[in-house]
Amino acid sequence: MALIEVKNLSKTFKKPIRGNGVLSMIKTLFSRKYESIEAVKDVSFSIKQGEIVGYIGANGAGKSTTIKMMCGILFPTNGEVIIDQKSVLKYRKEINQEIGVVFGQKTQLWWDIPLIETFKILKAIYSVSDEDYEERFNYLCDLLDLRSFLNQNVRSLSLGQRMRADFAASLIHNPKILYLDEPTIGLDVLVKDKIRKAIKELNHHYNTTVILTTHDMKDIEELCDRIIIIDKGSILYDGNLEDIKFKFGNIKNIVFPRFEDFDENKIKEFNKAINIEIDDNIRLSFSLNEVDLDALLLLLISEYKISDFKIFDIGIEDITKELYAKNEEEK
Amino acid sequence: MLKMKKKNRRIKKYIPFFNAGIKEFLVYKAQVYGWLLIGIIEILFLFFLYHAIYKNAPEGMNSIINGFTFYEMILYGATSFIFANIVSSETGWNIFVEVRDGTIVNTLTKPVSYRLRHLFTCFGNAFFKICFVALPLLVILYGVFIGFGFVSFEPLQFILNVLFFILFMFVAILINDSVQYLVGMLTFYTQHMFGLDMFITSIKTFLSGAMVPLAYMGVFGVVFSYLPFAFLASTPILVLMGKIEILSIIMFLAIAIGYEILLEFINHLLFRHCVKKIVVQGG
Repeated sequence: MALIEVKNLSKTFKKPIRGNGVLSMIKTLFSRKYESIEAVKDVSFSIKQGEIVGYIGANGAGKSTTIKMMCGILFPTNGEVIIDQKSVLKYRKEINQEIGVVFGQKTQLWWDIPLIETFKILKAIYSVSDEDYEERFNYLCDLLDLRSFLNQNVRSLSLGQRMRADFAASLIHNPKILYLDEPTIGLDVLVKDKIRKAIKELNHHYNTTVILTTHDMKDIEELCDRIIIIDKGSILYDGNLEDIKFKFGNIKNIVFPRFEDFDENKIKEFNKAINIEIDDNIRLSFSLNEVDLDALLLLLISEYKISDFKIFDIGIEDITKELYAKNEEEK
Repeated sequence: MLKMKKKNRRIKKYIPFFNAGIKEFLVYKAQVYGWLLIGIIEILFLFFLYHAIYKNAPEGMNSIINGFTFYEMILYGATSFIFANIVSSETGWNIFVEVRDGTIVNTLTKPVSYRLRHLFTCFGNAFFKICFVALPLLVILYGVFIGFGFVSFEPLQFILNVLFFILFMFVAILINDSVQYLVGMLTFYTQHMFGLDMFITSIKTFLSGAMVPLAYMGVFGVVFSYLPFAFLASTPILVLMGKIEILSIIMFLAIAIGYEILLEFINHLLFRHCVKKIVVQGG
């Protein structure tokens, strides 16, 4: 049975139209015109307990709006969100007990007091028993390496420390569902890695359902079995990560350092289906259905004397780009 | 028994907000010193103003103007200044900041009431101000005025006045916080606080009798004494000074509680409407 059901969810924002210049600004004092923006259009999906779902899309695609409607913060214009067979809007306070939320850009930690105090506050807010608190607090401290800055004021923490603390704070009450809205934004590689490992570990340890929005495709590739791609408020794809990669024709990439006498015509003569991109590196992308990989490698080694190169599958980033492009073409 | 336990747990949830209210005040110590300095200047100003007024009155410094002797006027002004500090609330500004920077999303995803969260923060703030600022100042003030015989003193009556004053103070904190909450809710629509705050502060200062006793405003003063703002300064101070009879005190207390219930009801309806207006863009 699905833990989360999103049914025909839509959200339309009313935005005032403001003209340029002082005169237009003065005009808006007396009469104001509005335009409607459909941030989310008829979105439906369901999520089972224990799934890690990546909810991805470009800026302004409607990801965060959907997440906020799923948390009960934003009221949908149409449709509804059901969690554990309860409507989020009707049972918001009750459901809040079962969810944890991390908004990467908005901390939930108390700014002026030591970090450990925030955990104590959250313990009281969520009515966590002493035993459960001790168990989870120690587990999260070890998992996210928090002990060294537990007694520091939150405002003095680095971004990486704050994010790890925010992440732990959202889990102190052991929620069934964890919403992560860009949890790795602005973090360095090491902290990102730590957070990803923690998400995996938590999902494994407590069977926590995770819904993740991100622009970092590595988050998705490392964590999610299922992705939902959204663009301009509508779902473009909902399914398995491997399936979509397969649908996109078993595409491979070869990347090697750029050099001066590189002649791209030779590659085109070899096979026109190879797409060539040149920046600091040279990148060849192609479908294995159309290009013989062995022959291409032989050509690169014999003709160009290339000894340093990387071969990898199509990334989710390329897939989303293609999906967006396809969607635009269809329109 | 089980119900009691549940109720206790529900209240326990808000204790952290009460503590946060205390800590919030401690962080900004300069605020306390600044306020004390303004207070001294304001009381000196009142002293010279009323001194000039009473000196030129027909019976000189022994005159009674609108029911107040010279010393009673000074006492009223000083008490009003301290009382305004006790009942002041940051709730409106706190809501505005949450709405403006979008951190309201973090509050709304917690299993707590938005109203009670702010109310308990206000209680924490008020608790600190009463214990460490207002109470010592009031004790000194009344000690000096009674000790030097500037105002009449009847022990039993004074104790009764103090008890009623405490009740009125509690209701005043509730009413002012409700007004502040209402103003905070309005920022969902206006997205601005400064103008609203200026507007409501000037109305409160004038209609509450914080600047000048309502008795000085003639028939308007009588009307104003029945408005909710009067309970934020005039009525509690007059109760403490023994200027209102017991039956009227009870009637005013009932009116104040009625206003508080009405304000909370309006706030409840307004919040239900406001949450639908939340727009948090950019993540």
